[in-house]
Amino acid sequence: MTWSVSLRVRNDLDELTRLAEWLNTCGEQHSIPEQTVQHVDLCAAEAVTNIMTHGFAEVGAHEIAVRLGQQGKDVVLEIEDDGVAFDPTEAEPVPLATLESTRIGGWGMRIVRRFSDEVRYRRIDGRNCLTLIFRQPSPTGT
Amino acid sequence: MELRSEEMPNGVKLVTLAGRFDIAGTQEIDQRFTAITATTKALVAVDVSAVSFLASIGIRTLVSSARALANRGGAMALIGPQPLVEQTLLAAGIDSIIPIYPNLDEAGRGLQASATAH
Repeated sequence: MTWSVSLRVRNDLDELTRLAEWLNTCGEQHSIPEQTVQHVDLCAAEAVTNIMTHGFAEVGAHEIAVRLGQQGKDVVLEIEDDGVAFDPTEAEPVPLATLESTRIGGWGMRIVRRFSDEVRYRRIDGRNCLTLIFRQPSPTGT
Repeated sequence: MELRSEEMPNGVKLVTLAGRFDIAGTQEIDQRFTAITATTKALVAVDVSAVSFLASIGIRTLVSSARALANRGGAMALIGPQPLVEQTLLAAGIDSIIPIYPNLDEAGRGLQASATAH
């Protein structure tokens, strides 16, 4: 990547505030367009919340590694954890329903797919590696 | 996150939220929001025009309360989401279960029409 910055968060939902602050600060420091930062912020919140809520079979301290960077024109968000194997690209989307019948929850991956341009998953050495790509438009006239 | 509540002359309860509706925001307002919206038979309009960020944890609070309200014969509507929040609601399909209106007048008419229909 052209540049990248990393953060480790504990598997504690209270860490999500620190993650959001870090992403917004990094976005400003690296001149990432505001809308992209908003999308990265939202996708990171959803993906990391999902990991913290469902990713660890046993109670205990875990760390989730978050890396933000630029590859070509694209902004890249990588999230790694040592939780149970889970490929979000294969998760069935929660079907839309009525207010009475809708399942409470399951909206996270819909949101990630809406606001990122590409979602990639790999399982490497016992770790889930999720990569989200946020494509940047070419400047007009080029 | 901030929460304000007031009774409108037409009987609609207006709840105004402001700030980030993320994990921290939800923790700050969840109990009060639930108490205001989900414990009575009421028509509730939730003004989200000052909500800058909505994560699925916030959606959970909205949907849970809307369902509890509906079970009591009430109804909920959302008012004036910012573009990012609106896109989040649409991505999650929430617009098909909680109506979204551009302003309080239309929300009030919509809620009263839904009350008449039941």
